[in-house]
Amino acid sequence: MVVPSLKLQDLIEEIRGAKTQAQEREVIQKECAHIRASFRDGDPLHRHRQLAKLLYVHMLGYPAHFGQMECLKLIASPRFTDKRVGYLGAMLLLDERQDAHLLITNSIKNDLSQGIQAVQGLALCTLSTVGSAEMCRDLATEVEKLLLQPSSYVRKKAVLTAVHMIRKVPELSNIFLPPCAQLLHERHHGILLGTITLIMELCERSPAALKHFRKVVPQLVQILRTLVTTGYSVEHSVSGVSDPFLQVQILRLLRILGQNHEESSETMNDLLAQVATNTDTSRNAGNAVLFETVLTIMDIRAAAGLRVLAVNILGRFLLNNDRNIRYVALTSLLRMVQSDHSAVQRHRPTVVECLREPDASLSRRALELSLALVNSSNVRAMTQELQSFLESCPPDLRADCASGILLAAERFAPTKRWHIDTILRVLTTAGTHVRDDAVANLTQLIGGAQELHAYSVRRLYSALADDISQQPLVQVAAWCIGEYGDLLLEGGCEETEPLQVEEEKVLALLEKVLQSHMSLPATRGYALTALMKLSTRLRGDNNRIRQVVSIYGSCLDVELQQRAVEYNTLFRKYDHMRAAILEKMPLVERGGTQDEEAKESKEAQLSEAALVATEPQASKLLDLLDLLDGTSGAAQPPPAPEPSPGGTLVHLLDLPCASPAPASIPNLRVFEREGLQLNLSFVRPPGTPALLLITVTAINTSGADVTHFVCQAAVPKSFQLQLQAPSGDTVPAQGGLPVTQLLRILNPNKAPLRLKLRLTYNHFGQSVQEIFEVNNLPVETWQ
Amino acid sequence: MGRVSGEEGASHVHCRKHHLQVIGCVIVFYFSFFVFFLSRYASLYFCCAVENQDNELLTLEIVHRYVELLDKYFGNVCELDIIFNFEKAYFILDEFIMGGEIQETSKKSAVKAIEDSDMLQETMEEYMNKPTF
Repeated sequence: MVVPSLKLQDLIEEIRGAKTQAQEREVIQKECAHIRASFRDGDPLHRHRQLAKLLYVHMLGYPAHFGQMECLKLIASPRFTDKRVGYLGAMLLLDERQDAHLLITNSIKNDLSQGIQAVQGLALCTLSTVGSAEMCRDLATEVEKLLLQPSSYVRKKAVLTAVHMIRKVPELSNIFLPPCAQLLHERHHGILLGTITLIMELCERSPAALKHFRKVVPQLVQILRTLVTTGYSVEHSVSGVSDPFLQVQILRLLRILGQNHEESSETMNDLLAQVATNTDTSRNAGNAVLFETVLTIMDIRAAAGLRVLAVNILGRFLLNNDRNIRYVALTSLLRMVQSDHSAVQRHRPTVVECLREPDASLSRRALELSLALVNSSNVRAMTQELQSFLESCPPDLRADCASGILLAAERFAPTKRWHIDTILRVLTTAGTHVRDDAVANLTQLIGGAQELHAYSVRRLYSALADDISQQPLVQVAAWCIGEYGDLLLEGGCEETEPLQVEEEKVLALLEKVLQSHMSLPATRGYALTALMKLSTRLRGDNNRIRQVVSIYGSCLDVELQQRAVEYNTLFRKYDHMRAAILEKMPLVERGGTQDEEAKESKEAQLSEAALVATEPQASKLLDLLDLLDGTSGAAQPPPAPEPSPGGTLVHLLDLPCASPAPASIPNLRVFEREGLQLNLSFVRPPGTPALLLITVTAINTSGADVTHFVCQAAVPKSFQLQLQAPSGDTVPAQGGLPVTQLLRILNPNKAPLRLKLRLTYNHFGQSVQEIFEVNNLPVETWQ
Repeated sequence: MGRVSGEEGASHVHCRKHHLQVIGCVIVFYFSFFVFFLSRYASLYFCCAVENQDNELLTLEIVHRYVELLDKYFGNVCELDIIFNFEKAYFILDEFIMGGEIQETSKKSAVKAIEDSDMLQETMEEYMNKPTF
């Protein structure tokens, strides 16, 4: 008994009736078994129905490979019904990767040459969908013949098959290039469309073809012009636009032909302007044509006015209600912003509006475009907009937005204060998303703006007091408070509100940062160093600081421990050097790391301080040196004491830990007048035989202060002298705190030391100047 | 361009007849080679993939044109028309787009071609009488 096979519709009903996936599988498996049996039996009458059912099942995702041979049989059948389903099956099941693929070649060949155009159409369609390279080569001549067929239906399909063949086998261009000229004269839109596509393919694959087809630019212009100026045509109009598909395709071809070619571009100029201005933009079809026009204008050598027109069209798109149109506008403007910057600038307000888009892909493009539009005249307004965007934008855009703002600020900041404010705001809003060098950049910036130190430290202090979780902000704030803590406590900065800050509060804040679990190790390092620096900036006693520092001497973190131990030592053994070491840093070179008083920066500080100290004295030294070197001939310009970094200078921090002067040289009193005494103490560090350190100490035992005290020194030419800055310029009366000054003398030749001193000061209401040579210098100072 | 597929949004048994109206079109950026489009007509979703350099706005028109063709052929098309006549949906598509390119921009011509082909499909009697190979 033969069970009548299900009709396709019935099968579909059954499958849809299944309530669960398992049920559906069951139905399909049962039916596939039937279908397989039917194929095996070779029933020709129902084959097409069985295959149709199989194709439906295949669409749902179930295996259908056993139907491949049936496709072949159906294609070869004389019945149209069979062929229709057979070819559909071939397109779905018999792609290039299947072994049976090549077997359809013969059938296609037969069908191409017999007379029924529907059948020819089927064959061409299959060829252009799944035709492999080999198949294309075999059948190229057949298709070429069909290009000349009387039926426009067949010609239209033949042209597109040719397109596919060229994509698969570029050498076939030779066959399909000649007919194009004739085909361009077709009136049938479908054939015209196919021809233009064919020409596009040919031009893309061969520069020679491109050159050849430039000749048809005038013809294309004419075709498009006719299209545009023709009125409404029932067949081809879409929303008031004549055949937008054809228009767009012609514009694309014009783009390819006009690229980098002055003459062709010129030929199409007028037409493009006409299309751009006359196309109805109320519906999407018109906008599609307009968009293609804009793309073409952008790519050819268009006149300047035309380019501005294109940008304006895109600007109008930005205001469109349709999200898709805004999207393409933003993407295209991004491509144009480099080449037509000023034209795009005009639409800046609209672009900024688009930042508020709820759609993520739109706001991302708006962000990119906005960042590209920032320049020196609009930087304040744009940064304002971008900052408010940063506050509300989705998290994946934050990093880009933050970096973009910082970059723009760096390039176009109108004032340093604005720059600092901007970075501060970014760090507060999106601190975790900024790049690593933001901290370094900000400290560099603040360091370089001396007039803004007080302002910066106040603002950073307030920010830090509010929130210690944003690490970059905390790091910068800690550094700043450490450096400029004295300015913080001074009070009275006009640019911020008056802020009463107490020392204890500052220290408490830094300790809080140190202890917080939110602080990274690097941040802790900053805080510890800042605390240490404050020991010289603040006026109170340093017990609290000393306590913290000693606690961290046993911290688990090795970096912190090392710092704490070093600072501890600084407190205990090198207290007299602490002020010098913890002085305000000079500006570090861009690119250096900003983590600590690095040895190099210490170096720079020492040498720079010395350089600063010695320069004003250089001129006055002339007379001193004249006196010294009178015997050696004409006065030479004083050897500028070179602060040679590295080399012979000793790192202050390299000094031996043991107390200075193992071989102690006796002190020397060199001057005394009315209660003002000058003593010299000498140190010869053992590691550097050529170095002599002299500390000049000025003590005042009289009843009146000595003010404006300046001590200068001169040595013979073969020596190198450096004067450090003195500890003060007032020697208080009644033996108050003495003024000290350090002299470093390098004596590489071990020549006998001669030293001349010049003092100027005010004492008892009189200004005094004394010049004298130091006598009785102990031999140990230079031998 | 790839093949366009239409799927029902919910499995309803009853046929709902409605006018063709686009509910929403979305350009969804997918790979760097393709852009995916999603168009929604009531409960029908149409997905289309195009290459980078293709005009996005025109693609929306293409999808709309295809739906119009379906509408013209079936007369007020609804989802069940497409489900139960899926092979016809393919045939209609093959008259509009071939090898990834548009072949016919006239609605009338496209529909006429399908109807002509339909005429060629044999009746049962003709079918039986034709020789098998």
